[in-house]
Amino acid sequence: MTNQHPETIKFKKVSQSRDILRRFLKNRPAIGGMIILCLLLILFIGGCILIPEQRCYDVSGTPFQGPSAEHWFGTDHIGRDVFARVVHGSKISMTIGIGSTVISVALGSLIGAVCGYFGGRVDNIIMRFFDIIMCIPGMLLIIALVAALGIGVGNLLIAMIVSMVPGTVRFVRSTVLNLTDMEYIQCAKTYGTGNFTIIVRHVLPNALGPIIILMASNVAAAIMSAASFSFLGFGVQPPTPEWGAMVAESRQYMRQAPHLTIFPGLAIVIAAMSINLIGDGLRDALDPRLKD
Amino acid sequence: MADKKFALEIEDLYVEYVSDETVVRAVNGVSFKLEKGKTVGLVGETGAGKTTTALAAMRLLPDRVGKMAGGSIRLMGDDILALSEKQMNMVRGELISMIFQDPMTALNPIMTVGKQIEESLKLHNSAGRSHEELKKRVDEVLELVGIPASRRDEYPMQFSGGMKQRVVIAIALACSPDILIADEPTTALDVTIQAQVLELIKQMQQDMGMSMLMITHDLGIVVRNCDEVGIMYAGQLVEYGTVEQIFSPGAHHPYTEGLFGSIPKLRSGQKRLVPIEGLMPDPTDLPQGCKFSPRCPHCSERCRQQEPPEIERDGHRLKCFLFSEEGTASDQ
Amino acid sequence: MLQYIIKRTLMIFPILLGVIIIVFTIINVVPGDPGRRILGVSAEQEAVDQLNHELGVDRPFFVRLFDYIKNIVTRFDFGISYQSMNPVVETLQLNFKYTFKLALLMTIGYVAIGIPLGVLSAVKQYSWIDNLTRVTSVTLSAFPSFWFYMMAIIFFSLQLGLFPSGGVDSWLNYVLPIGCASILNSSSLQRMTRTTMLETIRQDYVRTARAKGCAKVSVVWKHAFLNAALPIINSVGVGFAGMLGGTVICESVFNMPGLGTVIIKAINAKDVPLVMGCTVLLSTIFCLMVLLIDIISSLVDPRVKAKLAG
Repeated sequence: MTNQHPETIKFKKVSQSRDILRRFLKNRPAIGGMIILCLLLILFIGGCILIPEQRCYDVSGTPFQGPSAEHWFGTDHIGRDVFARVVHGSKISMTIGIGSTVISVALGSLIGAVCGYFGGRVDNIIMRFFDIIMCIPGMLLIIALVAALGIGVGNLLIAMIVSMVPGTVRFVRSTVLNLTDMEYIQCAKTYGTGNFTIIVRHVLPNALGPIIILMASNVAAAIMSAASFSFLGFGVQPPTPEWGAMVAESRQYMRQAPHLTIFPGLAIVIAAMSINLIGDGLRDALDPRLKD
Repeated sequence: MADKKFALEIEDLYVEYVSDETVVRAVNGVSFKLEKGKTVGLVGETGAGKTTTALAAMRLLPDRVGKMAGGSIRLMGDDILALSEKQMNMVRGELISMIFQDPMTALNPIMTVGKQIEESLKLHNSAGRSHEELKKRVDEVLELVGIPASRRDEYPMQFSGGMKQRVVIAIALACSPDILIADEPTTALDVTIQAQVLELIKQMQQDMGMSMLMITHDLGIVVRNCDEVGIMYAGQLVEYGTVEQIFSPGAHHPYTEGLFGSIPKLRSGQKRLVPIEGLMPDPTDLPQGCKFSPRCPHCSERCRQQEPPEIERDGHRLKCFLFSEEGTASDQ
Repeated sequence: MLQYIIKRTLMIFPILLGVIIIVFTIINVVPGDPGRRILGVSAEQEAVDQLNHELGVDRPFFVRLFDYIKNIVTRFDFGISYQSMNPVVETLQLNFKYTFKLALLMTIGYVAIGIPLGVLSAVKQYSWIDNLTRVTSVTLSAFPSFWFYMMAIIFFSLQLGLFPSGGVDSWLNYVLPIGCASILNSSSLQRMTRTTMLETIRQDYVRTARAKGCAKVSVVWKHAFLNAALPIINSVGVGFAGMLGGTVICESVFNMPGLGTVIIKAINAKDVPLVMGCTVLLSTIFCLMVLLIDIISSLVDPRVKAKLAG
């Protein structure tokens, strides 16, 4: 049932992007997520500038101190300042999370768009290949890749990108396939518009919404999975600060000093949650039909 | 008050749909009575509140969103608001049934048609019929609506649109209800099928002695099937009377005139159809005064200020200032 | 129908072959020196070469790949673990049952929580219970599993002393891991169930059923839910298979035996055959699970059935 007055539909021609922005701004959880993320980023970026990195490795403090004015998040088992480590840990966690998403989505979109638009034999072969890769459970694929390439941040990043690309390709390909069936694309073809122009002017702008939604929902998952692999010991190696690795280090001291586990974990939760909220808001704003 | 003569009595019905910010006034003071064994037609544009009226009579307004804001509905003399949900479940299907507009979506795609008819029978199996007897009755009902019983175990998607509507009718009629609501039963069908389905419904009604509420926007269907007609506009009955009263020339509501003006007549030699100008008012923001005033060719200042009263003559009810004073009703 | 099932089943073999080839290639891109690894740094180069020759790793890549596949197909032989020098199959057999048990219980748990909550949330859309479950599920989806497990240990095990913090000695040991995993994984299932149910619950056939006199509860389950069930079954099936590979973190945090623990140890020891064996085994199960779901849905849903027939 549309409550919209017919005449307002006729006369209020709001541009699409402004309409999307308006819907997004009306979404309270998304705005909340935005504010939290901004505060978090200010805290982390400001912290990285103000707190010298040296402080992460400074073992002069008393071990296992609880939170205090001097050590906001307390100190760890060898007396390092946990707050400094959480702040500097954000660099690696966020970089892997955002980096792997952006690169995999860019790669996947490119392959997916080309496969979906041109179809044919190449598309068939590429898709069969990715189908097979998707038969390997994601976590195992990353583990196998890390096992082959060796443990380390760079290799973890590569492994995560490889594991994320097939899903993106499949998603973008089906989006593009749906789009090429649309009449305005058929129409452009009958005008004799070149393939390149069609992809750039018609397909990509229309596929952008779904791709942004995909990206937003992948970032949080990627941050969490980067932390998980570091926790398992496949990513960042101690003493470099990273959230997952810090939680892993705290495992032996859960009884004496639960704050060692709590603070790095909370950082992940807050970051992931605010990004998720923004992602949901973007989804609702870009594609109101998906909203329930 | 409760008269044994009437199958369905709707009195001063108000229905609202409430969403976060807006209140949609879908039905605003509708009253009419359906005599036993007779057919009442409700005519109007999409969004006039016809279906909402019917759903209110079944007490099937959408949960939480739709609610009866006033008035009363009596089925076979009993106030349905007084019934518990459990009693209402017994009433639905057994006393009052409904045929829906779109047969393509009205059937559960993953249940065989036989099962769907049987479900209705099982729910109202006060006679305690056995499984075999129910099966037999399913076959009977299917044959009754013109579907071979052998198709009992097929799924809805194996049926064509017209056949699906027959299944929907079979479900509605399985328990021989007293009242049947047909909500635009032929709108979604091919023209060639429409006549067959209407014929079927009419025949069933006669055979079972049902009372029927026929919702449609097709005046042709009304004249052939109904005894009384209500013309609905913006949630109100702007005119109500017997088929003769509505279809014969004389005093009519401007909206009714407009409806007739937008149908081609073969013999009158008219050159153009006369459409009704404008659109239905936004139900969240109904105009003050007469709801039809923004589109009415005879609109006066008074129409914009006050709501016209309903006047009645020989059961012919009109809601318009043009006729409020006896005798001034003239041809327009 | 039968034709489809046979065709679909036969299709699994090329896929599995592809999986083995890809996994083998991935793991063998970097040339290893297992002989050196087993014998240690101080060993004689000759002995190392000798062992490498025995293990067959000095042969060309394609020969090894062919051999690997041949051994799996003909003898169900996944090679020999570099750590223990035992056949990989033995280790897999020994540990699979733990992982399977864990994954199965977790799946039961998250289905038992996720589906009813999702249905309830859809039926009572916008009510306080819907809002509460939605907020909870958004929050839960931001919790990294390892941290959630550890918080549970800190609270329920170390503070309250209700449950042991690890091991597999009694059923009590399973309460925390399975409880946490079920709650965490239920959030996505709950959201999915809610979305699909919101769609089916608005369908006309639901109204038809209500008009027949069906009670609300029976309409919700019998008509709306059964129509929404297919994508839900799909996601649960894939979820279960994925969980078999995803118990790594749970096993690690709670010190439980299983394939996850095996695989972590194997990676740290650069035990290539064992890593590969685990991956191939779990991928095979994943493929079989997808096959099973496809067959089930083709048997259950007349819509899928018709699409296959047509």
